[in-house]
Amino acid sequence: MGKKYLGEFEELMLTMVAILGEEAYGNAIVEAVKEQLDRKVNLSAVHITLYRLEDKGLVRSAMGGATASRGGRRKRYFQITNAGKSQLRELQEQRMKLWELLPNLKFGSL
Amino acid sequence: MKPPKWSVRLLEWFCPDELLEGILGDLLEQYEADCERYGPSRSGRRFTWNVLRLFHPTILFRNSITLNVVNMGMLISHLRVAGRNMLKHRFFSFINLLGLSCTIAFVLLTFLFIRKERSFDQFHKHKDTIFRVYHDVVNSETGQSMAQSAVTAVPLARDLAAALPGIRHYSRYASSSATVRQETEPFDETIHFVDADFLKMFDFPLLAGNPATALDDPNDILLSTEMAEKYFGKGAAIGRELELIVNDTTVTVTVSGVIDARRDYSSLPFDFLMPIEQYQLVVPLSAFTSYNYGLVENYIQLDDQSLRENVEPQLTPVIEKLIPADRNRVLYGLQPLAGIHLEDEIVGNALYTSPRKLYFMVAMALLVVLIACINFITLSTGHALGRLKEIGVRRTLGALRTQLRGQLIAESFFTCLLAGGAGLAVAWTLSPVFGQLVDSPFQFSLGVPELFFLLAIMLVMALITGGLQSTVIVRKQTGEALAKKGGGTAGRNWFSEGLVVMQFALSIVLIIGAVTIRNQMQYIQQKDLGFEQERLLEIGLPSITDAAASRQLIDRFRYLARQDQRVLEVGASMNNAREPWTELVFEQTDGEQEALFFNQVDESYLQTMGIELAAGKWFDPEKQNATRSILVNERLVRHFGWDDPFSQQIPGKEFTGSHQIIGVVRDFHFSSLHQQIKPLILALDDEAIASGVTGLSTYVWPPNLYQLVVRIAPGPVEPVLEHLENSWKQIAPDKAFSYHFTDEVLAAKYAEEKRWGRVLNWASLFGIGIAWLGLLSLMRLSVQRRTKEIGIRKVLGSSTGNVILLLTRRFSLLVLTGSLLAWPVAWILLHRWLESFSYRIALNPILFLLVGLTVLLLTLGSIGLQSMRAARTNPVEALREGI
Repeated sequence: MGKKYLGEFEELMLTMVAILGEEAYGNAIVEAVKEQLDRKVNLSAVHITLYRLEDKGLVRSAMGGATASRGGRRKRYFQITNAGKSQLRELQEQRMKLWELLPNLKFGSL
Repeated sequence: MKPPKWSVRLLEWFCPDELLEGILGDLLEQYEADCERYGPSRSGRRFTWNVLRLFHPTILFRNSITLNVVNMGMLISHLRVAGRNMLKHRFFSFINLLGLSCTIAFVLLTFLFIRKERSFDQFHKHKDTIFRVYHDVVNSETGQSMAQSAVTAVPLARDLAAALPGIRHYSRYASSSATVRQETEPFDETIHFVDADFLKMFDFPLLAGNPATALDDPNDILLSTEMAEKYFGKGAAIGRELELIVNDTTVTVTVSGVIDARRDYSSLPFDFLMPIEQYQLVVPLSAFTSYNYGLVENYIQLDDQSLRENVEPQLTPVIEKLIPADRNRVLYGLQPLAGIHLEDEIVGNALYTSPRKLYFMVAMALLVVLIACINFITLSTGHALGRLKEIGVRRTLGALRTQLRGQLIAESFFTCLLAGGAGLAVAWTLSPVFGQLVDSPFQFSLGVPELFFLLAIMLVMALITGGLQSTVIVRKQTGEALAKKGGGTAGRNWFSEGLVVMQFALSIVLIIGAVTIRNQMQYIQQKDLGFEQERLLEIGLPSITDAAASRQLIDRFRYLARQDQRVLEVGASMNNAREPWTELVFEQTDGEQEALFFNQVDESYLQTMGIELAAGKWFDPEKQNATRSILVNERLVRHFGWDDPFSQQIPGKEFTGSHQIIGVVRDFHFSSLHQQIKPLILALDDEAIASGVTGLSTYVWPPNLYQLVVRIAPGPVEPVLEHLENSWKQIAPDKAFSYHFTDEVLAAKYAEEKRWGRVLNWASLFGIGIAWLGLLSLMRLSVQRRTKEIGIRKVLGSSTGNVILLLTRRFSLLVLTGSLLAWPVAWILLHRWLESFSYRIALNPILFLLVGLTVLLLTLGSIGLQSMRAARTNPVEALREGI
């Protein structure tokens, strides 16, 4: 199997699912991104990306319990899979590796 | 506060059900939060925008995509493994692919053929509202149907349209032969006469001319594209003139248009179309108002298809009001245009293909597919057992049963895909030959349905074979598989052996069928017909209504033709060998209906044909006044049970005056051998009996001499034909010299049977070939598997002969069982087929035995060779490297 590459937004979503743990569903992710990064993301874009991640096997999803609000509709919670975790870790390692290759001097002079 | 209803509905429409709840819930939650912050209108817009953004492939096709993305990697691996396996076992793969691709080609061709036959007449826009009117003559006392026919009276459609509401258009469809001449050379052609509405009802594309006026003038004529080219070449035909000679009349007609007759897709064949008024050149004017003659086909177009239920029951009462029923009632019915070509056979002029022909083809295709599939299955299951180790390893590494199954199916599909490609190429190459074989040339064009069909066959074959393989293999326990006991035979035998037996049974049925059909055809062709059919020619005479003039013409031709020594005799008759002879119906003195065949002949007919006299004498050429004399055949004498025919009268109630039976001829076959010889009257003219005739079925009328028969001497034919043509040009320069050899005409009557015999020959050859290949490779597999056993046996003292016996015994038993199954099936099928012939061969049990024996010998020969090789290998080698 070839290596899977992740886009920036996909990576962000995967990270957020990992951060939120048990509480990761569409709206929670939108809120969390806003809170942490002060960045507005579109709810539908979040959904589309989450399903794509699910197709790639990086997250899995399950329906939660019944709710009182939102017309009684249940929430779909997402959870990171082992494949997702190792992919995140790999991405981080790659980035660190590249970061160390950067000439420090230039940043020092800034 | 609610979000916009329509956007919710939109989301519900396109979003897969499993995703809907989670997504809609999230959207609603956000909407509620937004409302508190920004108010309803802005949050409504945002909601809608979000819904629109969800219209995205990831959401829309989520389920189907998931499957592919997950399996793609494995699929590629499966294909790679399948490819390696095929290369490793080149022999088996080759046989497998060969059989499969030929099968796919055959099935594809059958599919194309059936599609073509089914597409007949489907190009007419109004095909559902156009009907052909047919009649059914029913005896009003017994209620028995006497004659069903679509050839009906000329005024029928017109009278129906006048009396019944709901009939939008009608058209007659009549035909006649005529001589057509443009400047010099005359040609014999068939002209069709139709109403002006014909062009409105049927969608034959008019390539030149105005459809509204093309058939308005009585001297208008429409030419098919082929005819336009024949007479006028590449230039424009429209406005040009043609000379038409029908009966004794010559008319000059003007081409008013060129029309595409769509010959390959139409049951209504025509070359020339003329207005129906001109049909009076052919038939007396009275035929246009009389219901006594069945001459034309009548087509009507209803306003709506549903009107059929109202219109159909009214047909008979409308006509009975005009013509009161007598002894026989004539019932009328409607036959949909779309059903004329294939569905109900009602005798008419339209081209008809028996559905039996299609069923036969489908049955053949199914049989061949069955044989090939069995091959594929036995080969690949046997073959897959050799791969137990691989499967075992896969299992140990954690492959699920479904995954293994998937792998095997994917591999089968890969094989089928390759075979499909090759089959397509084979079908393309063979399509002209196949078209000839089934006598329905078609273009090899691949559309979406054909490709889908191809894909469907491949999928089905892959699923069946892959599935069977996996049930055989995957069931084995992992340990057992790894311990390499899989080469064993238990559990698999009954399955693949049963299949081989079936394969052989089918092949044997096919072979016996092919041989029997050939024998019957040979029998028919060599059967003594009661006259000499070789070196006999028939020449069509110009239709001259005056009997004396006609006889004069014949006498002159006879004189001219016999100048050449090689022309032995020239006679003339009313009926020819191509068409059924005239059958007269009359009432007997006791009130019973009687039907006898009739032919008008001249004095030289008997001698020219080589018919033998059984008793009495033939017409005397010297005595011109023999009109009251008739000859009959032996069958007629037996029919009436006469001891002394010469003192008898044919008991027609209204025959005027007496007639004299002067001779009895030996029975000869004047129709096909499907039928018994019927009672026949031969006379110089119809005077003695014509007055009492109440009905007739005939291709030529009125009684006259329409046909010359010429007997020529053995030797080269060409110079004699040339001489005859020269003589012909002197007596009838206006009429084309058109002739038929009688033996060829008779052979053509069995063309259908011969054609199916040919198809069966090919199919059986194909079937036995594939079955044999299958057996060969099965044998090879079993020899391979038993190499070690053979080695041990030899070490322990078995002779080569013993080993060969050991290996061949099992397969011989299979062939024998196959024969035992095949014989009764073949017997029943062929017995039923032969019953359609009045003159037939008996089924020969020796043939059955022989076919079984041949197949057995063939099998023994091929597998014997293999077992011999296995038996002669040095046991040391076998034991050292044996699997």
